[in-house]
Amino acid sequence: MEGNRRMQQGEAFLSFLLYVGGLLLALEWLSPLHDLTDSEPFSLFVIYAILCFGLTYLQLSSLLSFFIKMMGLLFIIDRAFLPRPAFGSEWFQQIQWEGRVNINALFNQNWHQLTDLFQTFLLLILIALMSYLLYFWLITMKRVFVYIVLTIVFITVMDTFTTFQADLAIIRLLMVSLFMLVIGNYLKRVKQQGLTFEVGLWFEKVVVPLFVIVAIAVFVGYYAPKSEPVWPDPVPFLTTTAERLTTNDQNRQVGYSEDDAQLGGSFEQDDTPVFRANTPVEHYWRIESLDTYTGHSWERSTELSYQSFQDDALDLIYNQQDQMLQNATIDYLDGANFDRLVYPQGLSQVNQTEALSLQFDHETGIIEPTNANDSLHSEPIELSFRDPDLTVDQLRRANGPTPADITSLYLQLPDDLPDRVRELAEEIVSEESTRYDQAVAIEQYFNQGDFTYQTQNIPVPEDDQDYVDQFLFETQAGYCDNFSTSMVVMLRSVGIPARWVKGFTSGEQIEDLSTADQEMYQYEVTNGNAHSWVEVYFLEIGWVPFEPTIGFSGNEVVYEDSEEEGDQSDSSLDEEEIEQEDQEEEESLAEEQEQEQQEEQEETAAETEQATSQFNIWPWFIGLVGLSLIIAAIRWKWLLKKAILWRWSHFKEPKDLQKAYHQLLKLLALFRVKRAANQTLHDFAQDVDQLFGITSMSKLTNSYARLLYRDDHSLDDDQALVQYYQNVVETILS
Amino acid sequence: MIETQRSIHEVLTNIEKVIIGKHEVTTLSLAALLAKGHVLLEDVPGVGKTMLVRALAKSLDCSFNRIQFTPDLLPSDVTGVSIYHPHTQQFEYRKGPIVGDIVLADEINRTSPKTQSALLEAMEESSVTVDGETVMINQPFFVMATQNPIEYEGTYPLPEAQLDRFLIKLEMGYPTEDEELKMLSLTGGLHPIEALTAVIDKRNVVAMQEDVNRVYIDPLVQQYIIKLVRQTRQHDAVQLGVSPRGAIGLMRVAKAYAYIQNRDYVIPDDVVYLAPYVLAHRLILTHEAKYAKMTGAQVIQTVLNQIDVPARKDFN
Repeated sequence: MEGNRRMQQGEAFLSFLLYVGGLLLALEWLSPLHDLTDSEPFSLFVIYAILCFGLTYLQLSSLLSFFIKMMGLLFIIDRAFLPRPAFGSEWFQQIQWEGRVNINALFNQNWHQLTDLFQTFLLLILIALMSYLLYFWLITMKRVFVYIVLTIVFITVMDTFTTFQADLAIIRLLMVSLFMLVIGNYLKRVKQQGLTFEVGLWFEKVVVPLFVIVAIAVFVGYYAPKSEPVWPDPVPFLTTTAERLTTNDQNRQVGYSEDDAQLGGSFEQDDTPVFRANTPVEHYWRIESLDTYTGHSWERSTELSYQSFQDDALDLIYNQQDQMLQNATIDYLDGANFDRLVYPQGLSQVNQTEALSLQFDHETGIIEPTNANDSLHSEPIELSFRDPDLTVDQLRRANGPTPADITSLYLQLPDDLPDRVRELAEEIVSEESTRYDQAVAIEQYFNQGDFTYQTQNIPVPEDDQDYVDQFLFETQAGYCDNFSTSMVVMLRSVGIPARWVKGFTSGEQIEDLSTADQEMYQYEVTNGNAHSWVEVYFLEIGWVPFEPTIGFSGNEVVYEDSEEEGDQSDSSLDEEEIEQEDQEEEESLAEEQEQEQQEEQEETAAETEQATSQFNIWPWFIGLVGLSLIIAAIRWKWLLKKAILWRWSHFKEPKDLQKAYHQLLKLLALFRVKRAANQTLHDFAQDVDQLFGITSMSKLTNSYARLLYRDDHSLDDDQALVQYYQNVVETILS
Repeated sequence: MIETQRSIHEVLTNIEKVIIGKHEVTTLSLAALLAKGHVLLEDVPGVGKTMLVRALAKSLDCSFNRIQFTPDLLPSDVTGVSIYHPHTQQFEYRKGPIVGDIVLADEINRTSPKTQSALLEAMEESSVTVDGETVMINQPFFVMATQNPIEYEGTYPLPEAQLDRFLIKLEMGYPTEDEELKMLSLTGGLHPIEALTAVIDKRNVVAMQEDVNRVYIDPLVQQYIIKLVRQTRQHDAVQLGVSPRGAIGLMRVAKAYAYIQNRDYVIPDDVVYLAPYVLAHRLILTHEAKYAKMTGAQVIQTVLNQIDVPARKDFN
């Protein structure tokens, strides 16, 4: 008796050790995370993993354990990602925003758009699930080996393909694994062969050799000379092979190039920095626009006619003189292989020095050094610009006849443009009356879910194929060139002058240089930020940029809350200066907020949505459905049982009993206890009873048979029937 | 119902005092009796066929006649004869052994077809006709005919059409080792059959037969029987399938069996259980099937596998 108890204790202790080993390996799974990401809450992850494993080991009631784990999860999420105070309005807004972005990303399968919060959420759930799984694997099944192999594979893969260094991790892994294997194997033998052990003996025969072996293995492994790897590091090897394989595939290097003789084809990512810019506002960097679309490429129809660059000479958007001038600095880096100026949409002045004078072409907006010997690269360039401020109302009102010099250039389309492109464009804008709304409709058309953003596997159109037609109707997948070209072509096909613009997106903010009275941020723009977008001509307003590429934003010059601003600006003309200042402050505040939001969105590359004050119920609904699905997946037996028992709490009519009985047969079939059509009910019931060690099925069948073959409709012993029925259902679903 | 149930149980235990370990055969015989049918028992000599019938007769307080069939047996030896009575100067009918309650017709395949048909006619009609005079045989009337499967030499096999007259056909089979041992230990002294006393009287047996008639059989189960029977006519191995008489027979035994099981309605299980006993001997198999050593029971089993058991019906 005593020995038995001691043995059980010993077993429990060993199981515990095994589980601790499982936890240690689980932490090894998390460790690359620490190295590879800047996820700050790494220590929180570790604590959470320990919490989960501890709770699972204690085998508390599943509800309580679930509750505590959920609370821990929410606590970490809240601490790491959500604004203070918890449950404040901002807090809820943030959650709502997260929900919307992630659900969008999930539905569009843009996995990279998932936010950190959501990724962390998933990771934590994974940790919680892992604690369950390992409990089952290690303590119940005593299967250790597969887990260890998986861990080793994971760690080595991480070591090979990422920057993570697994040198120490491998040693830890080896030690823990050896211990776990010995304990697991021992426990399995105890279970299978009924081994007994004396504690003292066990110590001598198992513990001491175990430590010795592990120590020797580690020592030898660590200090023994190791030969150089026989195979080359697979990563560069694979990439070069891949390059060789894909060079025929007309892969292009991403980045700005002056040549657009061919549209289409995949391109490779390239993160070479091109320039650094200090600017107070996040905006795109424009280089040039093109006017002629051939069906396969963009070309310039006019010769470049340079004139020297004067202040405000390049008035892309007219009449912005009352906007405040803002300063920016551009510092070209070695990666820039072009000598054209990148500038914001509202460019006003460039600080031309003796060493650098600039010329520009009015049609395309190309700004270059006047002398071929000068270079933009030699020193940082200072420029100032006005952040354009247009209202929707303004744009909607701009509906007049377009000047001939604009229409002659910017309504051009190739003769062989397939009709269906025009038909599609007409259909899209059919509901809209103003030029602005039509343009927005086309811009938004790409956001409706049919289109995906991708840079690989993008075909080059065949000679008899149109680039836009191919994208709109066949591939529906592509990058900025596809989207922007398609938008321009569609706009032109419905009579709206538009042109194709090349440049860079705002890049990545690398430093905050703001001072007390001035905002300033440093951005680094790489070749990967090369971009193309659309400009639409509006009468008396000028060229307004649009962004059709899904997943991109951050070039807004139009603000939705137009009426308010419009009113204010109207009244402010008559009011005193103080109020004007107030208003400016307000505006800059509004801008600030807008900026913040844009930054967040840029981070996740989420599509900008019209800010709606309405509470959006969809994310919550979908979240709820998802959660229910998870619960259903875990507790489906329990749920099914409850549902069936609730449904058949009594049998009112003979029909009910028949229905219930046949549902039961189906349920049994689900568990592979299936009645053959030629098997009698009683016979089957006996099989079932025998299988589950009950008698209720036969009793229930007797009653049903009485109804069926005796035509006896009296269900007087309803309660007993229900009892039998529930008994069977509970037995099956337990 | 509870009363009769106890009686049935007593009858069965009573018989089993004499016939060791043949519960199934005993029950089926009783079922045939209650269904007003007759049994054909095919087995080797010495397994207790006679004992079974005698025990049944004694338990039910019925008269017991035995006809030993031989090649020279005449029909009148079965049915009885009219003899001229000098006193009354009239022909007087002398009952043959067939006029009785429970009759054992031993080795019927040893007698001539003429005598066989006299027996079978009496069984079917429950009456005998001698010299134009018809004498009814009262219920209970139960014939258990036996035939010997081995000694085909000098036998007249029963024509298939005649076989149809038997409600069920049984085989006794050898007892198990334990049963045989028990049998030996019981032998010696007075034969147990002598000690057997009646459990119920004849009138009760007739009442029970009436009860069996009233056992409920649902159209659902009737349809099942019909489907089975019709399917035997489709079977590849069968030259001539089960007759409508077979369907009626199956229903009657099923009722009796349900009654013995203390149930006032028939369930498909009864049908499934009884079908081989009731239907197998009514089939005429094709020659190919016979060469392939297929038996009627196997055919019935395949038919049972082909037909779906009714498991639901429309309630309005």
